[in-house]
Amino acid sequence: MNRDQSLFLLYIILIILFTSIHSVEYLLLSMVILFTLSYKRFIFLFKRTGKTVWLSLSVISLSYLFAGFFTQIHLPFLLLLNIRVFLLSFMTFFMLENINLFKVFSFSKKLSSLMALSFSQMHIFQRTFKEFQMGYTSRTQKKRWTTWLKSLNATLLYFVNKTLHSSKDISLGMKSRGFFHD
Amino acid sequence: MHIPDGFISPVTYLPLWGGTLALWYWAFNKVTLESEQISFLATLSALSFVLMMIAIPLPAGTSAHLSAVALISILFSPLLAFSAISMVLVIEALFFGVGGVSTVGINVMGIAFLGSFSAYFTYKILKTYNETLALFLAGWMGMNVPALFVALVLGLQPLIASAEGTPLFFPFDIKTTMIAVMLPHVLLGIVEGIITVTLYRFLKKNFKTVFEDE
Repeated sequence: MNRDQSLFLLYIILIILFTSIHSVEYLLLSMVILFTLSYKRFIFLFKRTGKTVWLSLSVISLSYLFAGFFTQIHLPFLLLLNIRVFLLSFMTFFMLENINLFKVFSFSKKLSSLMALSFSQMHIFQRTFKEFQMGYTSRTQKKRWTTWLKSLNATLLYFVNKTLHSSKDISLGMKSRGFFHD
Repeated sequence: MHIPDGFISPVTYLPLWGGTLALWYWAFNKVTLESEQISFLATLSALSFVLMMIAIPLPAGTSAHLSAVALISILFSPLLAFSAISMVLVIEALFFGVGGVSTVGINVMGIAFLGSFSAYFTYKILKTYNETLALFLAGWMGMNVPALFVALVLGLQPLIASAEGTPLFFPFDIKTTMIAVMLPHVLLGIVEGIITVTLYRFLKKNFKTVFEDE
């Protein structure tokens, strides 16, 4: 087991542990330890976690508080939920900064290459999609459902075409480099 | 629809993780992973990812994301849709931090598995009667079956994990989650159904390669 696999295993164990502990004190202590470990990256990770969880946590917390007008609620629970969700998300981003996930899946050549290829293709497709979006925004002054559907058709046609062509290109490239012997 | 970490108890997510691993094992035994399949699955995952990024404009300036589970499933088979969408959900959780890692099993089981297969079989069964209706309902099912599953999982939490009446994870009961999750999805499913019909028809007319095997 390499370093990344060991750290990933530790991360999984910690997720199970933090979802099994229901003591606010222990979770807060774990959070402080994690904040300390993140050191220079703390502010960045804190902001990133906040951006990710604020919406779901606000909706659930405010709905729960609102329910308090009609039924009995338990305020310490809200603290537990918020701390736990924040801690787990912070830990995930901290893990992403410190673990090479491609090495985690290196026990299987096929799985790691599938992961790496999917990840890179998702990035490429995402970038192109953003260009499509910018093009649509700059071309249309008044946004209508019909114009949106037309642009969606064009986008889909392009991406289905790209899916089939890129797939063949990558496959040929992998074969020519001796990646697979099929 | 992705459930973040911290809302679901280990009693729920661990067995569902086990079920998801079994489904992956079954799927990857069916899809022989050689060079062509690996590259196709990777690009199909990217296509699913991009389709899920599409924001459907809704009244009052709001928007919701396209699910596209039905479209991918009908175009490329439910097994490939399940594999590709699973890959998207895993990468989103592990690499982008979107959706929880502990809840990947639930998200995969709901969105990738139940969504793909329910949409596909709805289309297959109803296709002979009326193709437009079949496509529309497939789109609707592809959005609503996963939503129903997520609503059930969330709503069961107060029953499964609470201490002396105090919830420990997601606090709302099944009645509340059914209304809160299902009501918007029932309506959004109509939009998803219309988009599935439109996109499928457009592709069939302009991109015959995809339909050659039919």
